[in-house]
Amino acid sequence: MYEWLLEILDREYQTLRTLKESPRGTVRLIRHTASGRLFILRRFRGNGAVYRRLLGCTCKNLPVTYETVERDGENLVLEEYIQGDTLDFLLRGSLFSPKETRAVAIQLCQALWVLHSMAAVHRDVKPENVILRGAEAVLIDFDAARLHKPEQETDTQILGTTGFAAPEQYGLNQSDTRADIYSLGILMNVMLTGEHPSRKLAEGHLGRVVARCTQVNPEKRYRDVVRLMSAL
Amino acid sequence: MVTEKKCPLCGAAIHERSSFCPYCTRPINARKQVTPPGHVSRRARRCALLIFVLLAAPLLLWLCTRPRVYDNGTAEVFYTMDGQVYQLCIAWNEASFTPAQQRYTSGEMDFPYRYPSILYINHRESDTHAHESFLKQVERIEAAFLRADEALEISCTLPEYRSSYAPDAAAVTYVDYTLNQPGTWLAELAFTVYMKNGDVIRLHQEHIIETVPTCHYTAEDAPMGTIEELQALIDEIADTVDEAAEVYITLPPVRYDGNLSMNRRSISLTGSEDSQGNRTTFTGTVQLELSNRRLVYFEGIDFVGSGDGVGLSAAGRLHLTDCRVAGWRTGALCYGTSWINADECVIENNGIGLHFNNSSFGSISDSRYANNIFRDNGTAVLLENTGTDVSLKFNGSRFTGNGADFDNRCGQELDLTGATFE
Repeated sequence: MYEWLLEILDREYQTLRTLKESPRGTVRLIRHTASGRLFILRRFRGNGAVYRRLLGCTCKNLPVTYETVERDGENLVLEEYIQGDTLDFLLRGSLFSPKETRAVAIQLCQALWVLHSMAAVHRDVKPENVILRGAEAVLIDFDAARLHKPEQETDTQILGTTGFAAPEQYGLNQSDTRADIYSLGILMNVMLTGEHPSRKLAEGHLGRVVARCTQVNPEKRYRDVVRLMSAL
Repeated sequence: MVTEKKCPLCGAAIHERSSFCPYCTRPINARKQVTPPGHVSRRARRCALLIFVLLAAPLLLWLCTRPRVYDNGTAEVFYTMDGQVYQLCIAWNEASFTPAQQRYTSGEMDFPYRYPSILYINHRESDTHAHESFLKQVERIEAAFLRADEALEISCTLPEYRSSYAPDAAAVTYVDYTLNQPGTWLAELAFTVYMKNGDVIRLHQEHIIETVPTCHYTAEDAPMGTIEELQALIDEIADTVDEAAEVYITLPPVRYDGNLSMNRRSISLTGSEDSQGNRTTFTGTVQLELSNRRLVYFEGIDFVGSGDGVGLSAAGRLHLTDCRVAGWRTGALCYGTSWINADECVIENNGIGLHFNNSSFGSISDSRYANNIFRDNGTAVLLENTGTDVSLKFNGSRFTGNGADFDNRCGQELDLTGATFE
């Protein structure tokens, strides 16, 4: 299917520009020649399991994943192009008010809730990966995302073999979901003050929320994004 | 092996597993609108509270005296009892406060599979597990699949408290399923908690199960009588067979002289035995260098060396069953992002029997090493670096005549219950 999709993309789509290029892969803006519709095409080496899970759902705070294929660890992902400015770009000119910060943070919590409920962790929440589409904040780029399904099945009879995910393969633990909460806390503080909380912590209620999000000990952070949303 | 279907929207020929038509640029798979938990502003909460106090309190008091059904269609319900708010959720083990609304798995057609689904009960305020106190007020807990696609035979066991598997959970049910058709299939599991006060709490979890296509090769399908022929077949499969498929090769009972390399895709090998008791045997190194995380299964095969070299060299995830690894400097080595499991195997007369030197955390595929014989090795098991904190279990394994049974350099936790040392 990899070759099949690649061949159609070469034939039916045009590359408009390369948005990101690294040793791990590329991100390109492409256009369907016949309809003019824009898409993001990601090619990267690694685990594309999170994208595969996103194929089955839609959430307004995440880009739609249209197709994902893998061959020998090489992944092709076709996803929705989000028209808007990144938080990184917007933060160059000004800071955000507490009300605006709160609105964005709640939407990012909703995006993270979808990922966490799929046993996935984003692991790269930062201003460059948040696009504001009107009033909607959209969390993008799951290249660094990982599944954190840490289940063990050691006392369970295993009948047959899947050839895929044996339950113990994921050695990460719950603190990984809270790594996203930590990053979101940093992001909120940067939106409010332009600084890392270790240099300048935001004031007031949101400052206290940031302080709890960014506790060094994951056990002291919010247990999950639903609790963070409640605090916000 | 590309199979096609028609796009239901534009009629173009597209790949059978497409989720999207690249010609008309429209999605064609079923998608679920995921709605995260709602957020209510503080002002709105205050207004609602005021209205509630003025208008609805008497009605609620009346309702509170009656048994209620708590069912919001999700994997999480909050329930108040004796002034305490409890979180009931279906969750992953070790992520016991995060509801798992969906559960993904995959399997081959016509194989029976089993996996657990876990119910947690936690104190909301303190974020602590609360099953012990809560269960005193519970009459019984049931689990059932409310709906399932026809291609899926699926059922679950009666939920029970399982202290050895999930000691912090309230109940665990084991889900058994068999896939009857190719495709991706859905089923909805519900845990129902019946309280002694008559209340009923129901939680839901969607199970999404994908069929993995399989291909089987035997000596009748392709020449595989020599190591060169087998290598050619493995390379051809890597070039031609759909990457999503699970591939099995059943080998004839011959001796393969020379090295074998599997470096482009995972293929499982099953040996055989003739009437004289000759089994499929490799006398050269079998090397796995696989970038994906699929498990490779070797079953019923002998790997016999002449005192030097490495019998099985795995940069990939390998599971050995009923294999004999004998006469090597190192019998089986796993390194990089890899893992080796063995059960029902004989590992004998090697300098080192099993050698773990993983550089990557989380490679482990199974912690059990059951019913093996480790005999007359210099060191039966060398644990240099395992990349896991899961205890390795050697139940039923026998260690005899080894210079050292374990050389545990990384301090790996071991469970030697049921192992014998002679």
